[in-house]
Amino acid sequence: MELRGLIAQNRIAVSPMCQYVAEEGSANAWHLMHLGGLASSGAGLLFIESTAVEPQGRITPGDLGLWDEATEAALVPVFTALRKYSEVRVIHQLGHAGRKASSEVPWKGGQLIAPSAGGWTTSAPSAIAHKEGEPAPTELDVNGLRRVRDAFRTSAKRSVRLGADGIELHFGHGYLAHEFLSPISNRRTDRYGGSLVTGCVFRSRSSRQFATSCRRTSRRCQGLRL
Amino acid sequence: MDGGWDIEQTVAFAQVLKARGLDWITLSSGGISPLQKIAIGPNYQVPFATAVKQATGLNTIAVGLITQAAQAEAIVARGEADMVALARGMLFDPRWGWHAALNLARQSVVSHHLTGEHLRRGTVSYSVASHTEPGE
Repeated sequence: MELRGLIAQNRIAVSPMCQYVAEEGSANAWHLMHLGGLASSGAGLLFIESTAVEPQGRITPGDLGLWDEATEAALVPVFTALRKYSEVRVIHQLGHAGRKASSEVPWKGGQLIAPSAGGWTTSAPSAIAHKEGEPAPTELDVNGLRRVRDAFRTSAKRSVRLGADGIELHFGHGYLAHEFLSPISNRRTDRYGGSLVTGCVFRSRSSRQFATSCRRTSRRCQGLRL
Repeated sequence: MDGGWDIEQTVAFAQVLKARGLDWITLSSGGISPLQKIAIGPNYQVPFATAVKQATGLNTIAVGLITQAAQAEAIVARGEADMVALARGMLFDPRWGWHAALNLARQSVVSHHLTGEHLRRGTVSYSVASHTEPGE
């Protein structure tokens, strides 16, 4: 199986799985155990769990991140071990949870965590809450969009430096890019919005920018999760 | 769900990004609203991968309650997706790939698309099976 020069041993992949145990976005021994074990599963591709491109893009406080020197350094032992002891090809999933960030872990209900309880204010295409009764996210302005796009690009660069064979951008599951694509969460009237029928091109504008910007920077094979 | 992002728009979006160098797409669904209603079962998201693959020719990865080797092999052999990705199946059986290779190779009536056997003479010099038979 070949993906732009990346050759996987077979057509089996290990899906990215949130582990909810990172500290301030940093990987620890558990990530090495989890990924290290599955690197010898016999699958040709191993996806690293959705890794936030900025702190407020984490789904839960325990999500992996890749936004600074510390979070990058924390992943070095993981990549080093995978490279040394496995031939699996490693795809790093990068994402931003948008209005679904700052959430409780699934087995505790997944609800928003208030800033006063250790969460943070989320941002999204429009100030519409995910769940009725929850506080609405902040609408991203043009500067905010630029910040997120740059965060995707910088994280992609860090990921390549760590040794990822490819990058997958998380554009599904109601997270930020999906929130831009869907008229349910995107009610903007500027160049990043539009109706269901005619607005597809505009609503996908920001997501396209995230993707092309990462692609130019990483020069690795790139996929999307929708 | 009604009024949301759907498979037609996904195909259109995938086409645009393919032209800009996208190499693959992993297809799942849901998550935009707690009001969504999704019927879950084995292969429930595979048709999304098939639709995008047929419409765009992009490499697709199928996910969603794929747990058995024969089930995974069938998805790939029938051309419904280029790859399959597993999460729970891998947690339950952290050597899932080894077992799949052994299982499918023993059957030897299947095409071994999944294990990569058919690529042996190509650019790939080993398959999953080589893990279980290192002397081969």
